[in-house]
Amino acid sequence: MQTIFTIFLTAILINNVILSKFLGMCPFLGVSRKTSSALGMGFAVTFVIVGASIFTYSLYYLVLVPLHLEYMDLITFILVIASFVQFTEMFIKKFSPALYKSLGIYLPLITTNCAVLYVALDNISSKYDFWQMLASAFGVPLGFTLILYIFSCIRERLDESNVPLPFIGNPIALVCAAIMALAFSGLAGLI
Amino acid sequence: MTYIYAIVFVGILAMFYALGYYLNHKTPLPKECQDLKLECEGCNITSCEVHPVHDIKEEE
Amino acid sequence: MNRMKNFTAGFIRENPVFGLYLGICSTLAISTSLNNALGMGIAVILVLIVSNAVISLMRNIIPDDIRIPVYIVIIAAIVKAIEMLIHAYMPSIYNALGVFIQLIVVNCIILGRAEAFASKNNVFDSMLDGLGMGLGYTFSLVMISVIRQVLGTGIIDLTNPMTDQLIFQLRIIPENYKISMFTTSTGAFLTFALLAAALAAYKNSLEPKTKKKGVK
Repeated sequence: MQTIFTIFLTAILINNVILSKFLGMCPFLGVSRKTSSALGMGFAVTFVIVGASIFTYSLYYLVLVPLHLEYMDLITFILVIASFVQFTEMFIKKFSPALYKSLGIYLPLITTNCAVLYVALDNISSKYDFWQMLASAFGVPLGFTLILYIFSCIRERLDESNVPLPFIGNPIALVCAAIMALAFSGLAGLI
Repeated sequence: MTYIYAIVFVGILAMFYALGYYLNHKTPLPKECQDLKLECEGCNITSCEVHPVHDIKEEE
Repeated sequence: MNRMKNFTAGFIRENPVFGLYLGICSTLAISTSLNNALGMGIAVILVLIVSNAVISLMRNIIPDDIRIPVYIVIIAAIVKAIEMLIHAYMPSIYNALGVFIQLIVVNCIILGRAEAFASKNNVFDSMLDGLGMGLGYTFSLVMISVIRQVLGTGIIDLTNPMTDQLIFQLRIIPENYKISMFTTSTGAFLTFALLAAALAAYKNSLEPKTKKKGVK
């Protein structure tokens, strides 16, 4: 039985969604070139994962399980995530243009992000109750943002240094990710 | 018999998504955000809505 | 001849994993052993062929504005069906791949091919393209897995997923000399980076005349 704090800490540091589970890598190599865009992406991902987790979790246990439709979870989750992103973007456009400037443009990119669907599916398959689900839903995107921010700082320096010709661009970034994975795997003894 | 529930349920969700998409499409961009560019060079995910490859199509 | 060119594009020229960096999520997580790689590869090939065919059949009906969500829902239905088939007939692969079979839905390769190719060409060309890209993906996945498994555990083995029978098992590196870093995430990133750099170097060597900064 995992406590809420354990789940939260594990999701950020130990089972980090990028370095241990390799999810959310699709935009990881594309959007992480500047620090400001990395932070914006991180905030947007946090918001989407928390909202989408709450809705998918409620929908699964309130509608799908009583009707014995557990096999519809994939299509349901995808439609819920896509609708949530659309409504969120509409609200942000209407009520807060400043917020739209910082995180609104990343919202359509997150619809097909591996990490969002992974959190939604993992909450179900790990049989979390509501508070554990919230802990996981907050922890995973925080870990994502942390790694993305560190990575963008490193990448800003890499763009100005002397990299061998075949490694320019994404391969050298992946070597840095390998070293970061090595560093973070040392934290596995925390819990 | 339960598959009817499934079809109805997916239909409701799809209408919900269509409603969200329609409302999102109707609200215009705020004035200061008219020409925001996403810095995603080197990203080959062309299925993303904001990828620059779609801007060429819209200009035609 | 054009068909042949499109078919072989997925192997070296437009390799989806090392050249375009699509679908990295499942590539790095799955490639710990040859069995997993082949299982995932077969699943992706099936999904690609069927989804390309279905989307190509419906390409004139789907309105242009909402095409991406419609594609995603179609692919989700196909993936769920294939996941249930794998659960029924190949339980060892199902237990090894876990949640990554369902994450094929948001795999960038399938959506990318559907949008770039299947929505504009007829059914047979789309299915052939799906097969070509799937084979290229499986080829890259098998390369990473073989390197990681041989260096990380020293043995390479293959079991029949439907009957759980061992087909072959070879020990290539003695037990005391294996580099177990390659089974962890560090090794995954490192192998991927080296193979991607190798492909970039090969592509650079094909164009010796123009003075370029390099392939990004």
